[in-house]
Amino acid sequence: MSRSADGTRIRLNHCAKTYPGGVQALKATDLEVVPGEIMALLGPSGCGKTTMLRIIAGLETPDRQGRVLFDDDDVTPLPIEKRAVGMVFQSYALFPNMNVRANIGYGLKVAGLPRQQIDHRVDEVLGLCQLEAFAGRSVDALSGGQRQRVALARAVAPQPRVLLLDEPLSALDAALREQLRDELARLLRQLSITAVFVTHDQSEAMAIADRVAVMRDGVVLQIDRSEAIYHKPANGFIATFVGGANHLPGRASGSAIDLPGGRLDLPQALTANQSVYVRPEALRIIPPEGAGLVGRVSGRLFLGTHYRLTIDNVTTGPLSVLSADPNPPAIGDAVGVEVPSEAIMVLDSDAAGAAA
Amino acid sequence: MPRISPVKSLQLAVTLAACLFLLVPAIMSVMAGVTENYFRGISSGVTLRWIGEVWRLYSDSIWRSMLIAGVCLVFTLVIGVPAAYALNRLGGRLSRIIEEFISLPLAVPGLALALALLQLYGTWKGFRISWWFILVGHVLYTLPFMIRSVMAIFAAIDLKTLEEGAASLGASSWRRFIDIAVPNAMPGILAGSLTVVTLSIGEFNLTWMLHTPLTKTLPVGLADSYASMRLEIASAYTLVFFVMIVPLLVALQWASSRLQNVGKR
Repeated sequence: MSRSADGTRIRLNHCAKTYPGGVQALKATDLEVVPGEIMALLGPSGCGKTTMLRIIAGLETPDRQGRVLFDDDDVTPLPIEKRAVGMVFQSYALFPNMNVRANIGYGLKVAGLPRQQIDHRVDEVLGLCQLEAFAGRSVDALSGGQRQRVALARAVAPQPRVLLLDEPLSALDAALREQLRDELARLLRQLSITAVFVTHDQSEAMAIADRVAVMRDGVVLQIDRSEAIYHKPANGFIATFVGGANHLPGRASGSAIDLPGGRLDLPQALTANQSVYVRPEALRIIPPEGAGLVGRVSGRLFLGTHYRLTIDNVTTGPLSVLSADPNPPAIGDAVGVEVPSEAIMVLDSDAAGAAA
Repeated sequence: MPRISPVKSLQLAVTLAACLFLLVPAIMSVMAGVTENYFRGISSGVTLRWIGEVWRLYSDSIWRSMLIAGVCLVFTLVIGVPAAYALNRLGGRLSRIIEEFISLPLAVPGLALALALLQLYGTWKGFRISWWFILVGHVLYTLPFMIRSVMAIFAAIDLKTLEEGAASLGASSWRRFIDIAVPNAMPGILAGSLTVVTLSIGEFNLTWMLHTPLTKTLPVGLADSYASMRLEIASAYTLVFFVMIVPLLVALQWASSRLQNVGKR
């Protein structure tokens, strides 16, 4: 968040969304996105993140008390076409009847700018998004990655107050997604515009966003910088959803828990609704003799830089361990597991158990 | 020569027989239209005289049919495309109910529809005896085809998202209709238009009830020629009818196959 403070401040005051039929997609929520910030709305499907984005965009109206403010302007009653938002849709929604140049210039044309000015701005944006070579192409003749760039270029061309992106990378295949993720992060920083994007992919959220809002069941659970979300998750759900922490649901006895694989000493005693979580990369495989926790390897995946080991019998479910050892134990081997005390996260349990 | 299995040859025979069953009457009819004297057969000589006769006797019916089809198309476009757009935006159950309601004239026999129109407008004499009366019947009958065709393409191109895209760029709903909805619906509008023109030119049931001796259309003229002219003239009329309707049918086939490919891109 060290970037310049140009851009618009977005504030949601008490925004809830109840659909006809009574389903409440978003519970009353306050949110502030500071000027120039890139915020990710992260959560599993049905958590209300897209509804929140559409409320900011003006594609949905919040329930009665909700207010949407851009800086000090109350934009709640304005439809999307009056809000000056740029939006990148999941399916990109490029206009098939227009070529790349006409798609990018459409917002400027609608605004009634003179031809010369439109051409100038479109050229500028084409350059920014490295699309010069495709200006005359039909949008049907573009690859997925090119379409994504055109969608972004089209959204930013009219210099909107805020930029909103709905799962901008999910329509791409995995290899391309990673490359375009970096490109998108670079472009958004270059634009220094207030941006909100929705994703269900935690690595995408952490790579692109300045701050991440983790959501579930229509509620924002935690808003913080990526690092803080990862290292200081507010509860068990966030620990497992972001970065896939292991849940160790043992029986507490004093400041330790009893697990099927042995006893684990804790830095503090657990209260009734707390549980122990540990990250896969924080665990160490040690010889089983004399180890506090023992189990058996039931899975071994080679990931290039790491092996992902699955270990049974330590806890009630499988335990995931990331090991940098080039010669990790084989499937069927008995192993010991060491849990460094600084790696133990004592958090409110994930009551709904939405993520394993 | 490769041997043909008995099953294959039976299939071939059945196919050929079916083709003949369908084609022979049409060919006979067309032949009769260019034969000097039908009862003496083709040996009496080949002539275009009967076609000339048809033109002399019925050219006004033919022109009237084209006029009605053209004006009918204008009306179905002006009513149908915005209606399809509105129904698409409305969405949900209500939109389906309205669509079914608009389609009712298809379920009601043309005869009944014509009687209803006669009851309603029969006493407006000037209107009753003009071709506008027939036009009303044709618009009622063809409008659902236009609306359905355009609604189908709106669904195929995911118009809702395209419109949200245009709205996010500042376009008002009128601009979205003109810039996005209509241009992207062109294949559907084209297929709908060809359907409307083909149906209007060929429509008989309704038109038969609604016409007056001075407002005959192409198919009504055909029935009239079989009823009151010599067989060669009626057959020549059939030939003229084919020449007008077959290119439309071919174009319709082409347009609907093009429509099938929209959304598969």
